[in-house]
Amino acid sequence: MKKYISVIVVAFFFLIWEIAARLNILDTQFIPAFSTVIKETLAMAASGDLFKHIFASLLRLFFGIGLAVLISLPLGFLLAGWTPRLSAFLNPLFTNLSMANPFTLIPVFMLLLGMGEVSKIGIIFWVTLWPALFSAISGVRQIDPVVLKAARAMGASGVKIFFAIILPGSVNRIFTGVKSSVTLGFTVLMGAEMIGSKAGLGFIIFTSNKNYNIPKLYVGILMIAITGALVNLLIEKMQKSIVVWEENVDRIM
Amino acid sequence: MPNKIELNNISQAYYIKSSETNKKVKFYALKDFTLSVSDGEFVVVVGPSGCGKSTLLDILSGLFKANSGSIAIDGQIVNGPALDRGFVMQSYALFPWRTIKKNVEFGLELKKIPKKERGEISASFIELVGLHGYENRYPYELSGGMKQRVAIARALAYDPKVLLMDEPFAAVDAQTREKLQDELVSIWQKTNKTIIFVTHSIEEAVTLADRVVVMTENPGTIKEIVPINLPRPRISVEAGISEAYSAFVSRIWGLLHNAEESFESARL
Ligand SMILES: Nc1ncnc2c1ncn2[C@@H]1O[C@H](COP(=O)(O)OP(=O)(O)OP(=O)(O)O)[C@@H](O)[C@H]1O
Ligand SMILES: [Mg+2]
Repeated sequence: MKKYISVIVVAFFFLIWEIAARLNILDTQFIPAFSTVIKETLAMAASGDLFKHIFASLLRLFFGIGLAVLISLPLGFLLAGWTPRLSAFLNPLFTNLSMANPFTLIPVFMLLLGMGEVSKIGIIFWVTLWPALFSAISGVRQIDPVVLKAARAMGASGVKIFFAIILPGSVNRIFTGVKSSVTLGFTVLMGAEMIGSKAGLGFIIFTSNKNYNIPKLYVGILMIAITGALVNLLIEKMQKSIVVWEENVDRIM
Repeated sequence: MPNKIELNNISQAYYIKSSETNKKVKFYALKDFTLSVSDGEFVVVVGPSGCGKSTLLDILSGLFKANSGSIAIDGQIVNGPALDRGFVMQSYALFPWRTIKKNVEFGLELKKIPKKERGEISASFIELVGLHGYENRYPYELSGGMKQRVAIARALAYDPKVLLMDEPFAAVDAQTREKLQDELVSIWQKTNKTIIFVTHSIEEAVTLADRVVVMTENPGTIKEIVPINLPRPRISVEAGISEAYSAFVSRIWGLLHNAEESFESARL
């Protein structure tokens, strides 16, 4: 039911957009009609260009976010579980670092990592690291101490505690963090792909803007939104299929 | 009979903010608690809320070390938790991400018992607590009383020699409670486990215990130990409740009442 509602809402939005453009409520020079954007999208799809760009962006996001998750999980577990004092000490630092505007950091990444793929992936990594790290830390923290007590009372320790308690106890929170990471990753994509790239959804936006190709600019925006939503949906599906033990919150009013 | 458990001068204090002076004051959850429990004995602990019963079981389980005093099981000083003790906690503490079956099998996994055998053992204990058919449900799908029964099955499944039970039947209905009491007594008689059982129900204490330990609060100490030398079963449909049984109930009731009254007057 919820799903249908959101589909209807999105469809309605596009409809309003189209009508507003046709009635000249919108200045189509800056905001072309929805149908114009779709036409441009189809043209790019037909030439195969569109998929090249989507693929290039997805690959960068995959490596950037993958690396962020790969590093943040063990780091988060370590900070929350084994060295809570160190974590309390580092937390303000992490919070500050995470709040640095990623777009202002782009020149720094270019200087340090050059103009190639490394700096693009580096920016995505940097931005998506924080939500993943914070969710791993808070995921461990919110585990019910009583459950941990029960496991310990039976003599469980070390590896068993990790795999039987810590991991399943924090996985839901971690998924939520990764979803924020993905959203942020797509947001920063444009900035990352400004630097000497030849393909990518952010690249489309950047070059279309420069060349004043407005419909194409909107193709980029639309595609970032759509691919981002699809990737998030995929992760949500994964989360639901793994975390089967929680009461469905949708039921609670 | 050899002593299975020796509790020697256990004291556990917490520093709590006093409501009047806003200064931290020392508060004894347990003070100089000394008790010997013989092998195969069924000891029931009763006492007012907050007198340190759960604290006592926590310390016995090895989860916490008391501020002072020592515990020995079979002559060995207890230094931490182990599979020789089963602990049914006051809050059921089931693993939310494990099915009922997998919850019950947790201790068996730690014991490195092969999968097939684990399945057989868990099935029999799930049956025992009357949850047959719920094997693959998750805890959130169960009522409070059902969760409590899973916690009991989980503690029994790996066959610990000592059972620590913190109000294990508090959340079940009267009928299930009687059934579980009967089952516990029969398991106890068959397996010769040593049981330390906390309850707020005086009847339950008299029904189950070899000895009832009556505690007082602030500081948590033993007020009196009442041996219940009644033949078992103590309540049955045919025999009903005997006069001797009722006498024990009212005696313990009196002890608890006095305990509370003297606490009240101490505070005034
Ligand atoms: N971590 C703690 N910090 C401070 N005080 C504590 C802590 N744990 C327990 N206490 C105090 O110790 C006392 C004994 O607690 P305990 O849980 O053992 O009581 P209890 O006899 O099990 O009570 P109940 O019958 O209500 O379960 C209580 O007054 C409680 O407030
Ligand atoms: Mg208690």
